[in-house]
Amino acid sequence: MAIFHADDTRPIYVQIAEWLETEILNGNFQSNEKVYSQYQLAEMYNINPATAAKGLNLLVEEKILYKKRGLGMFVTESAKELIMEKRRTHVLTRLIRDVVLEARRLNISDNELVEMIKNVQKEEGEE
Amino acid sequence: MSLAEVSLFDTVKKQFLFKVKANIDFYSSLITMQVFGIFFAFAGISYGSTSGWLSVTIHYYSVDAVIAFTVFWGFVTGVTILTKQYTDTDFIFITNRVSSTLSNILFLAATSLLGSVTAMLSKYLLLFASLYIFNEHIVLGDIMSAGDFLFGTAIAFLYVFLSCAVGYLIGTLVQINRIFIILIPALIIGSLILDGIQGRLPFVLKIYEFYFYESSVVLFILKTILTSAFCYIASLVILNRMEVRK
Amino acid sequence: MSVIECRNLSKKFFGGKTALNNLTVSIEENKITGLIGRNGAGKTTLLKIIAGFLKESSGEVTVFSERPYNSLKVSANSIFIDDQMTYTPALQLYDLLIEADRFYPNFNMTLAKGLFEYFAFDPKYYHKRLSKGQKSTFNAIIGIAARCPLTIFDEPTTGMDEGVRKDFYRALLKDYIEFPRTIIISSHHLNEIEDLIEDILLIKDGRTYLHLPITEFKEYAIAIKGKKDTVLDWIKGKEIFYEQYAGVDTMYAVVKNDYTEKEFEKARMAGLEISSVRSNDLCVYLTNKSRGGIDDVFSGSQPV
Repeated sequence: MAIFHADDTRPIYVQIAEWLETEILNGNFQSNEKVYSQYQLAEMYNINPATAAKGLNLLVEEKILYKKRGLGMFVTESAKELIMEKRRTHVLTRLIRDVVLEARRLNISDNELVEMIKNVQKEEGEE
Repeated sequence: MSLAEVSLFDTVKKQFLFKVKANIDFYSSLITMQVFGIFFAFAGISYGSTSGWLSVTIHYYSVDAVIAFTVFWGFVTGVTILTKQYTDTDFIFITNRVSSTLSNILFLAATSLLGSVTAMLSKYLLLFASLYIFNEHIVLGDIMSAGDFLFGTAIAFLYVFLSCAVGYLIGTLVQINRIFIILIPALIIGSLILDGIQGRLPFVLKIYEFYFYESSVVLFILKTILTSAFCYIASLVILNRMEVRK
Repeated sequence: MSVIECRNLSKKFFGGKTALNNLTVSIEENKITGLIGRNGAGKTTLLKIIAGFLKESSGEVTVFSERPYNSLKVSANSIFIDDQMTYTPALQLYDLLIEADRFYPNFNMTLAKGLFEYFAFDPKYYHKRLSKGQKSTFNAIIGIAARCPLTIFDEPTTGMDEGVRKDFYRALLKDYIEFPRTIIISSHHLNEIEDLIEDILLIKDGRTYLHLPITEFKEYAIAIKGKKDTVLDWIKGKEIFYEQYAGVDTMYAVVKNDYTEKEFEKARMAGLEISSVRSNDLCVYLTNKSRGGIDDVFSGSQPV
């Protein structure tokens, strides 16, 4: 399946959860709208439905989705905020930690690092 | 998911119909054997006598040779139907040892019957050939009545079916161990030699007489049916313990 | 509800070879289980006992609450597909489909025909004359279309080319979604089936080594790479599955993953690289006799 990055080593159900989050962020699913079922996801991603269900349950635990018995999974009111908040704290923190560690290994000083980040920001801004 | 309930009867029926379609090799071997039998029948007994200007040759055409070859076919088929190739094809589809054996018996019975009918009918083929192909002049055929034909067919069937049963039991033993392929003929020949040395009537001949010289029809039917039943039941008991698709 | 129960199941073959040795496992209804193990681990023996072809030597085995050996009920509700299937040489491919349809109560002829045409089989051809891969494909069609409550595939993709393999697994998944049933697939190649299966059953030396959801299996172990001393310090007291050395003092180790998120953070700070292990590799490590794999054979003769 080309939907995945082949070199993405994270579990598929995590990848599915993140993809659903992105769909919600992009506005493809509104609050209280029904999302894909585990079976639809299983077909789309060519995976076992139980694995797909695990991805959905991850989002239920994080209160991004809620279950309606016998009807399926729906987007919560606060889904968008929660996702943004999560990405800010989790994803960015993880990326920054990797950068800091790599910088330390290469003996790059804190100031130099900050300077590098600013340069990138400048470059991206020009585009 | 709800489980399918299948009856033994239904499974045997399906397996039997499957075998009728799948075991075509046995039909062709039957035809081959009966053709051999017919040749033997032509080479059969003939008396000639000449007196002065008159020469008479009398041919006796009998279906005995055809039946004998059919009996032999039954034995070989009984053995062959149990070889791995045939057993494994059974177990591709739904079956267990009981339904596999019962459907084999049904198949052997059906083909034995078919073989007996064709063997009996070959008499007409012989008469036809003697009249039109060999241009023999006078045919004194005791044209069989329907009753005689049915009776003859029934007796032939019992012979062939018995032979299948014996083959089946031997086939079962061979499935336990290949050594029986050698052991059984060795035992028969051994007993012949031993009986010969000791000047007795050969044991094998006694068995032959037991079945083939029986003058009472009822006793003959009993003997063949009970022996066949014994062979099949013994086979089933053994086969029930044997693994498949190894 | 479990469909298959094995308790202390053993199988000794004539001649003394032990194929299964006190194997205990329970397989639940309507799950797809991947049966993984090295050659000779006992995969095929286990599957053939479950299908009722082989007789257990000792222990207990039930399928649909019945002893499978010689059981008509088990035969009627299960199908066993492998590359040794011998069909009658008298029937053509399409007639074989018709026979399968006559026998199996849930057989889906529409699906069988669809797959038959998709894979471009000639209805008048004979199974015996097919290539190895085509045979496997044909068997797989029967296996999927039979829709048996217990469907067993023993190395189903032998000889299939890459494209057909993918098609087969996708067809199986789609039909499973439409018609859920208990499926067991054995394979040497976990990477082929890891997305398809729900549970993994890893057997080693005729016993159950691991039996757990594939998602948990993927997080079962973790790889740590870094300076030898630091790594050794870090994996002290842990269950080590594999170790390898490179360069002057670089060490790569695969250990059981029971670390907390905090510990990972500390490890990263200490300069260790932490990564997940590919399930296929993990299987190989877990079923290896020694921790260094093939390298252990040569380590005695290596220059110091």
